[in-house]
Amino acid sequence: MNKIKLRVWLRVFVSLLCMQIIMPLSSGLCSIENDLTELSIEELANIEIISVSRTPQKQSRSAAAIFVITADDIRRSGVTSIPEALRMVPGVDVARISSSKWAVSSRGFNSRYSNKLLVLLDGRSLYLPTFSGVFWENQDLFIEDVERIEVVRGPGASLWGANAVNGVINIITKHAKDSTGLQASVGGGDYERGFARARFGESISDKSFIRAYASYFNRDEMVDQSQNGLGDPWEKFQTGFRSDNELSDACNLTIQGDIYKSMVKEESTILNLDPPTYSESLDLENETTGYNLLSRYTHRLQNGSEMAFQLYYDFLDKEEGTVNVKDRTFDVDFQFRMSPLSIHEIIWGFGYRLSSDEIDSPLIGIDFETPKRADSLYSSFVQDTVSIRDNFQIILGSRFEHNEYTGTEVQPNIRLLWEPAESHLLWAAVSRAVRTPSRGDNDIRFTQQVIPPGVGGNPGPFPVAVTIWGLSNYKSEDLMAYEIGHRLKALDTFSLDTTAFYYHYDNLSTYEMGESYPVLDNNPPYVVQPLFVGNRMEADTWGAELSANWQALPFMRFIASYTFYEARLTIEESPTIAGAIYASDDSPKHQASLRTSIDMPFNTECDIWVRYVDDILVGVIDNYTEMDIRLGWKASKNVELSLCGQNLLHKSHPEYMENYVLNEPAEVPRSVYGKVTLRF
Amino acid sequence: MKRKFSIFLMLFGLIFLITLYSPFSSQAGETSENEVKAAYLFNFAKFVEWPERAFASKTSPIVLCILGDDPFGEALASLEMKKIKGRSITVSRANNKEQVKPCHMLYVSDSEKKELSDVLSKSDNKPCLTVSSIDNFASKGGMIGFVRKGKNIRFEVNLDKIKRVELSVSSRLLNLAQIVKE
Repeated sequence: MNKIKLRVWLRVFVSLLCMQIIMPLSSGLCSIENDLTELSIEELANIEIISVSRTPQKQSRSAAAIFVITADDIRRSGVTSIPEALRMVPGVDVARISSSKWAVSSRGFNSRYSNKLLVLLDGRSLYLPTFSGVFWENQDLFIEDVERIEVVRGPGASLWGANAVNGVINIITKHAKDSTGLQASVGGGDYERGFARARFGESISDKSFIRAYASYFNRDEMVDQSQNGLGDPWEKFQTGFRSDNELSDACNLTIQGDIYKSMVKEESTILNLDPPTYSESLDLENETTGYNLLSRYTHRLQNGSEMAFQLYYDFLDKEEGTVNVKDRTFDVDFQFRMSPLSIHEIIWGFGYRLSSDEIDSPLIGIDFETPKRADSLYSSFVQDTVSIRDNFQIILGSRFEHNEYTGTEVQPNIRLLWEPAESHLLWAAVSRAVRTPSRGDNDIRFTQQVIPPGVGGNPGPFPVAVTIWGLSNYKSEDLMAYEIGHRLKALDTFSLDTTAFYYHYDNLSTYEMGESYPVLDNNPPYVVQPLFVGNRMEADTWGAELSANWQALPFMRFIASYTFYEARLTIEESPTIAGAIYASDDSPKHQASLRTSIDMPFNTECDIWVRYVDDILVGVIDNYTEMDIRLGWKASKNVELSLCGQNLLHKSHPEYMENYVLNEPAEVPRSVYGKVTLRF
Repeated sequence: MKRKFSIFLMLFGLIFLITLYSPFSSQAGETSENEVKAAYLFNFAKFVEWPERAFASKTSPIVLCILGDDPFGEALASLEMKKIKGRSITVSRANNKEQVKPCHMLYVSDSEKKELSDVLSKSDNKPCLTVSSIDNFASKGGMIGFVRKGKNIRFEVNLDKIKRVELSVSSRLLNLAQIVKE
């Protein structure tokens, strides 16, 4: 991107930011005061008040398969990253690819580029449109300041937009008011070679709060089957801030931002045309830098309606393999919530997103037809929650989006919620969602394999480069989802959440053999065998998820979950079809997890977490059972010590193997770390 | 690109302003729970009559005590500027039951849930109207308890208790109330 364009961007961003701050103040909108004492007592009796949970619905009242990870769950599990925390969630499949890479998906089709799962951090999308996926290694933060992680399995597209096909993950950090004071953690062990993080929060006035944090970690490499290191250690430094300001009773302004840098070592096999191996092993040191800035303004009107106006800018400069990607996202979002008639609650909004990227690839491995591209996305949505009776709701909504690849996409849904008794809640939903094409689907040239001359399938004299070839007529993958769920809450100490789903996908990604052609002006000459992307697969998937939470004794709690998932893929029969991206066993058929939390005497705590994950990828990755144990001791009001053992049952175990990489699967080693946390 | 942006921006600002001043803004919608409760307190003072001995003179103020964490904040400020039959309203806040001065109305905050029976026994037999949002307050020995009915705030009244301390309540208030017994 040239400098002039960047300056335009910057100017737009700054002027919007100013508008966001100055407009409400100068127009006096923030000072609306409402004197209810002027109302008669009869009028008061009929006035409507804001629901207890404003926009985020209470978990027990939402008509979706929702699971919430709390700050305490994160602390007591001893996890050190967001993807590791997501292992707690039923229906979600987390598999470690290497020391710094994860495959995370919800309800099937797991891969490093799980393209059907949308992830947001405080309203900022972490889904990278360039690659259709989330780079989990970039998503680190001061983990103690995470207030909760809300995970919705199933389509959330009608509210959140395209690519929220199989799920939406909302990571929400604490309000700056709830994170004042100094908190610091230092620790280390074998895999966690060392980490240190600190946050300082302060109240500027009784209505203005700010916090700043810094976090550093250094993590060791994964191992192979015989415990030899794989040369993929990494380290990362990140710092950021968040400020929350109550401009008046009705107005709030939040500004937050982060900046980070990471260094990932990697032994990577890169394909080339040189005999005899036609590949080369490289020791890479990949650097990633990024920053983002977000501001959100919320305004509560006299009548209780609420509006939110959010904008952010996100920049990423990442080296991945031998490819360098620069990605910029600029996003404006507007939301309005109101109850025009007492039984209706309407949320509507619209937004604009500009994402631009620059991809630089020096080797033959990956190439794009156009090295630079900027795409606009226009979107709007509306959702109406109709409370027909106190215990019965219908939720109707749709999202309308216009993207530059497939044009306009409509993603509607309908949900029913019924509480037949106080402790029971039933819900059902039918939704449509789409996964819009990424830049890769459109114009990638990715050499997946080089077949040496004379080797099976290549009788010719030249090497054949099998190349995945993006096409501009690639369609959106779409989904019709049918879901039902039941929530039981008994005796305040026990709750049980059951969901079941049936999905039908259409237009899923496939490869089609194209006409091969020789490249003779290269030394050595070679033949290109294109594999064109297409949409010639359908799939049916179904499954069920169960999670139970039982406070057995005041000091003892059990949290259990079980996931069942199955898929049947139907690829169109045609002589040119060469395969598909997805397989029916990308994700495990069975998963189970049991967490036991015990509060022990002398302010000590013990947490035991056992997980079972079924085998995946045609038996390439075996099933495994693993266990984490954390012991914690609150030595005083200010000091907490903890010792955490992770993956204790085996010396090491593999969890995933990336299709595209020719290496052996990395195995996750057993590890232990200790941590000291100070709070003042 | 730049022009596209400015068009979008203008559109954006326009819709923003329209929605601010749209007809929706003037409709009766929702408002915050504590603002409504504060306004109720004012109305209770209006529709309850205290025996004359409860006041030092004809103009001495009605004292409203808040026991525990004050949930109302600014919402009570407008009450202090009002007059009811020649009397102004004074708000007095107390953190524990020992600090509570003689008052005409006592709002028991949620934070005092555990101390509830102690608090109520202390104010027993005094002409003091007790009000609270604590669950089942009126049937637990309080006088007026706020309850939520859907999106509305209503209240329960323990009439026996009120009559016992020689307070009288207007029928306008009772019409809206749900009468409960201990």
